[in-house]
Amino acid sequence: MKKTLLLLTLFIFIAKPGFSQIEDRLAQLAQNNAENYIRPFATSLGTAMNSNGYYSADISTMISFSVSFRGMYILIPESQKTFTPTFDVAGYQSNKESATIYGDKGAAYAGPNGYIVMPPGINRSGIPVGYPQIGASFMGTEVILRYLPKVKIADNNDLSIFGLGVAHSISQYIPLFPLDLAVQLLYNNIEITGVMKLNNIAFNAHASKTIGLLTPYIGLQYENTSLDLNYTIKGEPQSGDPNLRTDQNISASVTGDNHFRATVGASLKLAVIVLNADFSLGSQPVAAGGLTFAF
Amino acid sequence: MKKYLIRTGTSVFLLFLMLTWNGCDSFNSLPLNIPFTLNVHVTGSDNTISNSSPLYCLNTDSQTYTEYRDKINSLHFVEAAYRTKNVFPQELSGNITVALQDGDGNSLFSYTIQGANPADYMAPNSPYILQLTQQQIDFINTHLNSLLNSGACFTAVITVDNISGGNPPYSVDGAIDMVIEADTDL
Repeated sequence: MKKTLLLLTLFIFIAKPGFSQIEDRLAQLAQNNAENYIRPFATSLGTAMNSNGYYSADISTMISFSVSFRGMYILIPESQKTFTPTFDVAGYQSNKESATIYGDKGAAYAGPNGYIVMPPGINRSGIPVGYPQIGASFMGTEVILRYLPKVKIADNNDLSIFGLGVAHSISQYIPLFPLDLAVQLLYNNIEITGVMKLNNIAFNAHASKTIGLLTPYIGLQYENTSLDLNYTIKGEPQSGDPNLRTDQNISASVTGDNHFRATVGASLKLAVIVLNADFSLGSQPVAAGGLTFAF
Repeated sequence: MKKYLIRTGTSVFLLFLMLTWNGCDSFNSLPLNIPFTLNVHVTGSDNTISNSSPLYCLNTDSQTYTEYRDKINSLHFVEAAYRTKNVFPQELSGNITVALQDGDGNSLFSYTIQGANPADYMAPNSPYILQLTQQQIDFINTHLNSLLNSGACFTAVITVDNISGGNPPYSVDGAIDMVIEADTDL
């Protein structure tokens, strides 16, 4: 019970400041620019939730259970720290770049109605993410679950996470095959009620070879992330964009840039404890690690 | 032993996550760009015409500044531009001097666009970006930060001299657009 409370506290700790920071920044953006501003964030969330789904392709044929903590550090490429805004208002030129959510300074664009200003980013080159995961295996099939019940992070806003993955051993059907081979399907959903809903789906094939305590592994993965977003523009009457002068509710839909990744890593099994670390090369490279208690 | 390993591993993992997020200053501050405009209506029949804008005060006239006022740590100048909203006659030309004063009438900067046609800076054309010197920027920043939470005030003055082209009476509706950045705590 204490551990559950600690984990819930951790999630709230991570979610609450991030949530209000993103809201405050989006509040300064028209819909078309909000989508490009927030896209790297959608990519990060997708990259995080689609990471660390496996640390071996050797899936038990006996009944077994696991509890794990997955952590990762997502590296934000320089190219995803800026974007070039577009304007629906005549007379404004997209002549310079402005920060995305991960960039630094927001730019200002002079035009016939005064300046249109962009919000700054959080100026980060990497994002740590962590979550718990439980799993069960039987007959060469493993089911993993990531779950966080609804947690209040602001008035009228609850955070919830649900993720499900199914992996199946392919090598069990190929006698004397020198490697363990498996395929996996992952589905994850993160929702902050009334604000955002993130859906991720991923499919991968991975292979591993156990040598003593060590299991090196590789994988190839296709994935897709979509983020539906609701936010409120805080009207600034002096803005050059008439759409940004009054408060209004906006809905936006963003697809993450994460589609393919290649992973290489290794796991170390010490009795009931498995430590793993891997590196994935995709739209946002990610170094991931896990601590698993396998029974 | 197993219980000890589990407890230690879990603690280390959670500690890593909490430390990496706790060290994120960027989650505690929000540098806001605040735009505002000073409008000046200049008319006259002489070779030099000039007028001032109404007093613009951040604490009463800027909605964004007012909303974040108590959380602002510092303010600084980002960019300023001159634009023409209307001009008569259209062919009017001269030297356009754009000046900014604080609430007490002290000069913060004066910038002259030599031999200009105000119509060149009217929509759909782009405004004229004022390339201020570091000293001029420092004057603005000093003024902004001397009245950090009570709100700095500004007056713009537009002067057109050495006028040629067209016949009087002359009229120029001009605007000085400015952006300042407010470093705010969240």
